[in-house]
Amino acid sequence: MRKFLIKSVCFFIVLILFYFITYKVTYNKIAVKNDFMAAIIDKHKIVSDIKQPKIILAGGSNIAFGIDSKLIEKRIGKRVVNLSIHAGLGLEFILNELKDIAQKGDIIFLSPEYFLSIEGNYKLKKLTSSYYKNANNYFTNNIFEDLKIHIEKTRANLHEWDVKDNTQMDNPELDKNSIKSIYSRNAFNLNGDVISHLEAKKPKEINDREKLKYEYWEGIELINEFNDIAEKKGIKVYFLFPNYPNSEFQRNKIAIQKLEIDLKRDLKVRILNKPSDFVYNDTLFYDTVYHLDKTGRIMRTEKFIEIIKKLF
Amino acid sequence: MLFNSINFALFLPLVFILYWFSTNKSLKFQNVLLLISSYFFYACWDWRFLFLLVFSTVLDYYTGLKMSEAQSLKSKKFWFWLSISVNLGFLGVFKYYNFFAESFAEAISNFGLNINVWTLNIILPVGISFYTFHGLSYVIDIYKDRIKAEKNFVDYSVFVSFFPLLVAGPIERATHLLPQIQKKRTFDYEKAVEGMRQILWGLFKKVVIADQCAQYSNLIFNNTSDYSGSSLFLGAIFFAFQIYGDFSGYSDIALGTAKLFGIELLRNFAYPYFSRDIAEFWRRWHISLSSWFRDYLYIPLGGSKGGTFIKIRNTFIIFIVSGFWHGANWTFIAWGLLNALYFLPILLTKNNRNNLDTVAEGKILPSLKEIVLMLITFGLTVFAWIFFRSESLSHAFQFISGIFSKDLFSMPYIIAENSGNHILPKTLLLIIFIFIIFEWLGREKQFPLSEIDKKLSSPFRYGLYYILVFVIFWFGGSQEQFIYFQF
Repeated sequence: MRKFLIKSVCFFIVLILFYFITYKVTYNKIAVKNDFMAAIIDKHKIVSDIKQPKIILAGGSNIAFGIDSKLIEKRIGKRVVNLSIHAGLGLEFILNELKDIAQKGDIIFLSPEYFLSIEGNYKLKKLTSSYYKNANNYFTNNIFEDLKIHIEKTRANLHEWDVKDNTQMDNPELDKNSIKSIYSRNAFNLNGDVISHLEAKKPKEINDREKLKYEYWEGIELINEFNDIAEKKGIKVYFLFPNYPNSEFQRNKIAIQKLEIDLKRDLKVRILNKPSDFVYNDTLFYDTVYHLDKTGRIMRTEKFIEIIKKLF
Repeated sequence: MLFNSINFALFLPLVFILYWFSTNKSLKFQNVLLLISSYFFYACWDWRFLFLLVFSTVLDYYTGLKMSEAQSLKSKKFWFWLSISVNLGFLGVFKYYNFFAESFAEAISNFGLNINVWTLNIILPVGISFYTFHGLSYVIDIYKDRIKAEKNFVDYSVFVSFFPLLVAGPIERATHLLPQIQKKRTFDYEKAVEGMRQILWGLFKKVVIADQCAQYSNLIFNNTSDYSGSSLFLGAIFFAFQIYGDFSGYSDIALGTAKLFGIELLRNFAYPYFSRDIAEFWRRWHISLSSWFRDYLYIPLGGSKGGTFIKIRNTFIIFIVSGFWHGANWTFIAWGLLNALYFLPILLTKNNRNNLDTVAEGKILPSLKEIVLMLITFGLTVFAWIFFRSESLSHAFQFISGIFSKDLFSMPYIIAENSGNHILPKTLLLIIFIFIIFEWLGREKQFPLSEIDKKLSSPFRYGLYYILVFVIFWFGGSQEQFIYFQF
C-alpha cells in the first residue's frame, strides 16, 4: 500500500506541476482585458470618480443595452452611471454590488429582467471577479466549482495558445458587426451604456424567447432586504419593469400579471411603471428579447425620463 | 456523477482512502462504506430514484430469503414470480410503457381509429436495466437452486449497487461477485496498478475516441440529407468507434475502479472489432449481457439442443430481446433482428464456434484471410450500428440509401458547424489509427496497457502515461454522457 501511495502521489505531483506550468505558459497569451464582463472595472472607476450624489441604473443587460444615460443626465441634471452588464450575474450579485458602491444621496433605479435568477451563473460571476477582485464579495464562492473552472480555463488557454484569434479581441475595429466586437469591454460609453450595437447590422432573429413560468419570485424578499440597508444609508431605491418585445409580452402576459400582483403587494420599494410601459414592437430589438436597438433605446429612454422626472 | 468528471476524480480517492485506511480492519465496515458510497454516487444523478433502487434491492433480498425458506414448490414459485413480475413491471413502466402505448395508438390509427393514449412524462431511472438484471439473475439462481439466498442485507445490497457497475454494468452474477464481497480483501499492489492503468485507458477511449467521434457522427446522423455517400459511410464508422470507445471505455473504468477495491468484475469487452465472424463478435461485445441472455434465456428455451428450427427460433428470440433491452424503439429491434440474420448462416453451417481463440495469436500481423474476415465482420457490424444510431427506421433507410449513392467513392467531408466549410477531421482519423494499433498490440491482454511494465522500462512507461493524460486533458471538457446510461 505504501509503495502504491508514494508512486501515486509522485505521479500526481508531477502531473500538477505540468498543469501549472501549462497554466502559466499559456495564460499570458490570452487577451482577457477586452472581455465584455471586464467592463465592471470601468464602471467602478466611473462610480469612484463621481463624488456628488448620483443616479445608478441597475439590472441586467436590458438596462445596459436599452438606456441612454447621457440623455438622462442632460434632462435631469444629475450624474448617471449605468452599472448593469449581464443578467447572468443574478440578482444577489447585482444587489451586493450596489451595497458596496452606493453612497448617501444616491438614487438607484433597479430594473431586473422578469423572474431574474437570484444566484445567476457561477461561471460568469467567477469570470467577472477574475477581472475585478472586489466582485468576489458579491457572491458565495464555491471552491469545487472554482477548480472545474480553472481546469476548463487552462484547457481553453492551451487550445488558443498559438491561435491568432485573440488579435481580433484586442482590435474590435476589425469588424464592428462581429459578436466579439459587440460584446466587448469597448462596447460601453463613459456612462456605462452599451453602444457597440447601435450602428451594427441586426441579426435576422431575436434570441432568448421563452415561455415564462410563473412562480413566486424570491427576488422580492431580496430587494426588500436590500432596501432596508439602503434606507439606513440614505439611499433611495425605485423599481421599474424591464423592456420586452410585444410578441413575448402577449405570450407571457399571465405570468407577468401575476408577478406584478406579487410585486405590488409585497415589494417595499416603490414601483414606478407598469409592465406595458416598456413593451415595444419586435422590430425595435437588436439580438435578444431584452436588447433594444438604436430606435428602441431612444424611445425607452424618453419614456424612462418621463417616468422618473416626477421624482426630481 | 460521471466517471469522466472532476466530481468522480475527487470522490474515488476519498472512498479509496477511507476504504483502505479507516475501515480496513473490518470487512463489515468496508462493505457498509461501499454501500453508502454507492448510494451517494447514484443519488448524485437523481436522489428520487434511489428509493426505486433500494426498493428493488429489498424486494429481491426478501423474496430470495422467502424462496430459500419455502416449504413447498408452490410457495417458492409464488415468491419467485412476485419478484420477477415486480422487477419486470418497473422496467416495463419506466422503459417500455410509452413505447407500447404509442405503438398501439399508431397501429389502431391504421384502421382509421384515432385514440389519445396516456403516456408517462418521466425520465428513465439511470441504470434500471442493469440493476434489474442483477436482481433477476439472483432470484433465478435461487429458484433454480444454483445458489443460496444471501442473509446479509448489506452484502446483498453491495452486490446490486456497487458503484463502479451500478449504472452501466458489467451485469454481474451473484456466484461471481457475492463471494468477493463476503471475503476479506487485502490490498494487492499489482492489482491496484493494473486498475489505475485500466482507468487511464478507459478514460482515453471515452474522452478521446468516443467523444471526438461523437461530434462528427452526430453531425452526420443529424443532417443525413446534407452528406454524400462516402461521408455517410464515414459517419457510420465514426459511430462504430464512438459506441465502442464509450461503452468499453466505461467498462474499463468500472473494472479498473473495482480493482482498486480488491474486486474483480466480469470482463465486458475483448477487442470485438478484431472478430472474424459475427459469433466471435458477440462473444467479445458486451460479454456480460450476451452471457446473461445465454444463461437465463437461450438455454432455458432449449439452446442449441433440439432441431434446427428451435436453434433458429432461440437465436432470433435472444437477439430481438437484446435489441429491445437497449431501448423502446423499433430501431433497436431491427438492430437485433439484423444481428440474428447475420448469425443464421454460421449457425446453420455449424461454424458458430470456429473462432474461439484470439486472432493471429502470438503473431504480430494477421494473415490476409484474417484481415478479410475481420473487415467483413466489421462492415456487417457497422451496417447494423446504423439502425442502432438512427432516430427511426425511416431515418436508417434514408441513411443507408444515402450511402449507396453515386458519390460513395468521392472524398468524404464534414460540414463545419461554424463556417459551413467542408473539412476532413484528419487528426481524429490519425488518433483512431494509433488507437487501433494499440488495441491490436494488446489484444491478448485484458486491455492494451495491461502488464505494460513487462514490455516498457519506467521512463517510456511513464512517458506514455503522461502523453495519455495530456491527450485526455486536451480533448476533455465536454463531459459527454455515456451512451449506455440511457439503457
